[in-house]
Amino acid sequence: MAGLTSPDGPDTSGETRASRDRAQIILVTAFSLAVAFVALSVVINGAIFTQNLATRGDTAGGGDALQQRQQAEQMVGNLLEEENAGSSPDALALEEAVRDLSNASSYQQSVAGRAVDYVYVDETAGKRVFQATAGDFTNTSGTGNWTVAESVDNARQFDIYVSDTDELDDPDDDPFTVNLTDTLSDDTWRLALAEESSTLNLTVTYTDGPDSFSTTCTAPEPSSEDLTINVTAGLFAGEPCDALVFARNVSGGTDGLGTYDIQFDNSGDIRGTYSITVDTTSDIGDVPGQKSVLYSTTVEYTYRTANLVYETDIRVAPGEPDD
Amino acid sequence: MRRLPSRKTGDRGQAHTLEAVIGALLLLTSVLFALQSTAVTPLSASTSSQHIENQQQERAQGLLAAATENETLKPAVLYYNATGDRFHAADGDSGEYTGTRPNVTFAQMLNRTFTSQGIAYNVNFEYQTSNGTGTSIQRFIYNGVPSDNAVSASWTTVLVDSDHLYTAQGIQNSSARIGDSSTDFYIPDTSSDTDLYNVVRVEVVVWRV
Repeated sequence: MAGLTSPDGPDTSGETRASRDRAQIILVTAFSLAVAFVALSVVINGAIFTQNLATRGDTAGGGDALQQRQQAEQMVGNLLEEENAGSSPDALALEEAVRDLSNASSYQQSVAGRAVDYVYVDETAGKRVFQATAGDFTNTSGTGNWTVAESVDNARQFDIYVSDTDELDDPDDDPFTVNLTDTLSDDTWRLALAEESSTLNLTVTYTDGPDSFSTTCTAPEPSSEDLTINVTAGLFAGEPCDALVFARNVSGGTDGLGTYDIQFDNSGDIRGTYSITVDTTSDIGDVPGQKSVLYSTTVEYTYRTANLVYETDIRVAPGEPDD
Repeated sequence: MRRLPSRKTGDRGQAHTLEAVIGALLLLTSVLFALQSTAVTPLSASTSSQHIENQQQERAQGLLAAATENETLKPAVLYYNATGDRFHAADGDSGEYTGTRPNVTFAQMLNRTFTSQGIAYNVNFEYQTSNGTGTSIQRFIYNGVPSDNAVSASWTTVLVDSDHLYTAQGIQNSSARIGDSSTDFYIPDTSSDTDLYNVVRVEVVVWRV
């Protein structure tokens, strides 16, 4: 700032002094203008940064942890399904696969600045009851009303494929039904499958004490005369069916308190295949096909970043109603 | 004493001109500085486009989640022509799609979500190398070098031994099980003693053009 002040020295000319004053004013104005503009840009940037922060969502990244958890669930589910597809599902082999999965994905996740770890905890044994070749749904001794599974807590991937919809009965003519009976409260859940004048009817009836509720989904009969029902997924002929809430109001779930029995009635009135996986291993005789599988598995999931630690047990049971 | 209009007035004119020039310069530099720090062009990275980046990132992440849910993500990874060492009908040098598009649902989802909105995207598959100590990246769809304000979203998925490669028509090729050593696949089996084949991180990079 040496040039801003008038130097003390011999100053004889009034003209020179006036010019110097003028130069000073110009410079001071210029400096104050510069400061004003810098201040303005700081204010503008501050506003932008505030908006930036405001739109970032949660800074700790809790959403990422949950998203990674969802991916973990899907990946472990894939491994579980693969193990079950083999000839003899083995929990030890699944444990090894989860360990390798943990190693592989932790390497990939570390690049994104987070540590992800899966540790195998345990599994639930179960069995798959199925009929692989199209036929009526009776058991091997030809009984029409028979128990498919007893004392079931949970069931998943219950799929019914009807190969010939013409074989289905009229709604009021005792059509094929799937019956679930609560072993404690005797509440029931019932799925009836019928055909009436080229319309397919799926009627779900469930009881709550003395009350009974019934709703029906319909679908036009396809020219191919086949039909797929994903019972636990709530899909009727590939479309979501509001009525189809599997095991509504009959006990079950992971609490281990109540169980239900699954029974097929009038199973001579349907042709096709079916498959259901249940978390019980108790043996039922005369079943067309059954196989011991791993019903579900629990994996301890840990997610760590610089400012977040998330740790939880994930229960993996692909195709469960609330999955 | 009254000053006479003399040389002084001429000096003042000069000073005024100088003042004006300096003022203009200051104004211009300040505006330039302000523009530098706020940035308004669509391609320049800056804090002001963060909002759009957030939205694009969320959209890409949602797309990946949807693709996993309707089981179209893995078919894209497995849409591979083993004999040609590239994805089916891919035109890129390293077996990826540059001008053409794969005939898989995942690519259609990407097109519907991004291309129509003027958003470019790259898709990469990152997998573990056979010794398990590193990762490799295989490009799937490549649209060019991303701009400075590109964002990425990723989703990890597993391949298991019994997965099959897909044919050009998008159906599973029953004779090409990736767990079999006879099947030629760009991703190696990192866990040969278990059902796990490899872990693939599908990465989608999106940016506005």
